[in-house]
Amino acid sequence: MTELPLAPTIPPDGIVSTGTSKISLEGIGKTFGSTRALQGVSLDLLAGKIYGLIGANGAGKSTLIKILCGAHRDYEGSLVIDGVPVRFANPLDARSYGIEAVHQHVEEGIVPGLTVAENLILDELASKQSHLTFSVRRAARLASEVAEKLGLELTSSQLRGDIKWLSVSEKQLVVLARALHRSPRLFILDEPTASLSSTEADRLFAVLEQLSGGGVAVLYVSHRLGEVEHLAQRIGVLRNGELTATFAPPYVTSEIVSSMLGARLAEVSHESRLGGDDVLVLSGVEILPGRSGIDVTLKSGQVTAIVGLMGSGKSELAQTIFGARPLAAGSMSLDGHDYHPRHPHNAVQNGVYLVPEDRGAQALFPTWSIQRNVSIPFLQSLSPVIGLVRTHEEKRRAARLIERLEVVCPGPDAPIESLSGGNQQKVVVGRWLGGKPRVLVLDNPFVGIDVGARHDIVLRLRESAENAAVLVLTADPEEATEVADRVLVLVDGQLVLDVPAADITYQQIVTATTKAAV
Amino acid sequence: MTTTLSPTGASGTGGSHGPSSPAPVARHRWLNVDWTDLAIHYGLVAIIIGTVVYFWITEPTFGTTSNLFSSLQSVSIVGVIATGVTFSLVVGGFDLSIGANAGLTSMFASIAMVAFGQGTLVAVLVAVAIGVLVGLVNSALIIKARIPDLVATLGMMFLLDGLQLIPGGGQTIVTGMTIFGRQGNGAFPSTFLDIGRAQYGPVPLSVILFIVLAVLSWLYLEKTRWGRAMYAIGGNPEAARLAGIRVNLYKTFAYVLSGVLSGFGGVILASQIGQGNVGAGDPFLLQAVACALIGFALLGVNRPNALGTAVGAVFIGVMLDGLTIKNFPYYTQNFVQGVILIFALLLSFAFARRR
Repeated sequence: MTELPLAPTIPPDGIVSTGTSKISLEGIGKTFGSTRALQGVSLDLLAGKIYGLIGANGAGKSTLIKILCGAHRDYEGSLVIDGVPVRFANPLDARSYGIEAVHQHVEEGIVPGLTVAENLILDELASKQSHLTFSVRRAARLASEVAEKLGLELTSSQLRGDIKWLSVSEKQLVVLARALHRSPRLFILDEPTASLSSTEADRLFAVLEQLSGGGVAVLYVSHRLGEVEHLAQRIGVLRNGELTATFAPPYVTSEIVSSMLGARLAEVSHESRLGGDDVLVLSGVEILPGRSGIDVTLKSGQVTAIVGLMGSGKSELAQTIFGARPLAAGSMSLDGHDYHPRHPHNAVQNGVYLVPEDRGAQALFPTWSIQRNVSIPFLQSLSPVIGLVRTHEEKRRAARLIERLEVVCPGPDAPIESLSGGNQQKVVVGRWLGGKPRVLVLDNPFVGIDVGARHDIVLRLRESAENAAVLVLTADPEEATEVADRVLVLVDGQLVLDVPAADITYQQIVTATTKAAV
Repeated sequence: MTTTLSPTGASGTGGSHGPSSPAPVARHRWLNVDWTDLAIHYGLVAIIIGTVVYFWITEPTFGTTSNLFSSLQSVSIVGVIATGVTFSLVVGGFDLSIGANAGLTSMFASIAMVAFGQGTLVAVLVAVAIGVLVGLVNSALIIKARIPDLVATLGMMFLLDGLQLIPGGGQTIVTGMTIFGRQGNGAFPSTFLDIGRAQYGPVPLSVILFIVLAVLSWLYLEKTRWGRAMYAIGGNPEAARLAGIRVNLYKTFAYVLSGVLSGFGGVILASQIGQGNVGAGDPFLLQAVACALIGFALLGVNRPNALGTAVGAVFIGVMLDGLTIKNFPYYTQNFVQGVILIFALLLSFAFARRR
């Protein structure tokens, strides 16, 4: 009796009674200041169906999700659940209606300092019915039950460890598992696969299909069209706050893309560059402890992509090159000179730049303006006299960058937080273009970024890579072939494939990544 | 009516119209005043002006030049120390050892003069050296030993509080005292006493020193790239590190500056009271932190800033002076300071977040 009512199967009894249950949005509109974020959006979310929602950055997807989750109260139009209009007072209210969302930013969903197990059973800890005393064993048992729903494999020592030691993708799985555990009526996912490997993503898709088969309505928001097409029974496209088109299978990708981007097409075509001089040469660089080192040469004017799953050593490689992680074994040379950065400062001085994996935690200064976020690595060049920063020049440079990268914003002194994710990423990438890059490393740079913004960033990268070597680290084979001249595959700290991008197929990369992993 | 505003508002979107084009959002609040916003930005300034005007009108002695400067003189020590703690707050840390540090330096500088017959220069150098040393130890504890800043500097506070008693055997350091088993052969030189007491016309030297240090700190923090780097570290240390900023170096420097400015506060303290008083530095910790926190609210910046800290110190000085003239009992002073602090914190945290 005192045991918590843990739903062992999906769906639970009582919440989803009929297959006809539906949540309707009717003429939803929302205004922020002078910005019209949403305009007359009407759509139906049906029990047992997956609805795919796509749109460029700033199209209004996040706003729509927030309204559904009860985070915004003042909006136009109405939300109707099974024929009854409702207006949520707060996110908790929305949750009581069985609406559950997993947001794009993983860190918002976890509590650092608590163990993985405690994070998994956070609701149980917070509920009024929870036990007075906290039994570690019971928590671990509950947590592994929750984890099993997503096929999350966690050892008991991992469960008892602080969640902050988990990778981003593992944290995300924890958050997903917890939300699933609440047995929602409507499950909203915002860019859920952004930091998942393809096997992890496949596992998620299986769970989602199982969920919707059990009568749960799913709203799946993603930039990855392939996934959405694969999963959804209906696709809605948001553009500039309006639902411009809806599609039903069979889908024609080009139609969806063009309705999402309007006139601009997402086709990226570039000639494969062979590259010029050797810029960065890694020999025997150990990126995962206990594994033998890797040899790789990055050439100027060439974009190299390294495809690797979580745990393959991608981020470790990036951090080693950038001096943010000590070089355990091996050596590096930059333009023929010995290169041994002890701190990112040395790397930056040598023209080696990094766009880190986690934009919010590792790259942005959230309370600052765009111009300050742009200028921070190269303030020295802005302050020739006793360190005094020339703010007019700073603003001019930021304005130029905004123009070149087509950052959608009111101006250089707008707060960075007011920008959409894709535009923030443009700023983060763009800040390094203000220097003299020799090597530009981008660790998962297109997380949560729509095709349009990605296209802009890639174009700029290739332009500025005329004289520099660009290294893109990604988990997405498609992204790699789209961006790079040369594709390498990293598995378990080892390079297993190295081919020109033009000669490689999606399938080849996937095979290479998975084959060696077994 | 609103249509007349649209042409100017529309020009702000391009970003290519030059640096002065305002954000279009702000235009919509042109006619109906946003009071929350107004309070966040100018609430503190309004309160300060209101207080000064009130005392000025009701108390004839308040507005005299000599009284105004003497109230400034009374906060010059806390102002200098508060400027120091501002640096530790800017890098996202906290230095609780500032008060004890000021007490220790005032004692040790006095010992240098009284027991060893040293002059003003040596006494000041001793104070600065102690400040640097304390800052270095603090930062080593925080950065190398990874002790959380609050706890590390709390430990240092205790240590310094105790250390200042050891050479003098717990006694106040005064001219002619017996110390280290003999009678001290030195005295406080008049040049040393001048630091806290001399006046140029109506202006006390200590006030000038306070203002100069506050202005230099403001310039450093707001206008130079080094200050920008410190704010970056306070805002997001990992992002700062990955932008190539030597985070540990700047943090160390911030704690050293905090230590040196506290030490300098100790010098002014010793010269104003003309002796090394046991525990004389202790009250300055809370007062200095209060000044810095009040400063958060200045002009709605909502972050530690040198100008705000100085304004906070001056405000507290003027307020206490006015209350004294109005014959408020001394024991109400802390209460009034607390009310001011809570008010300022409301402005910077509660209201600002609601925006």
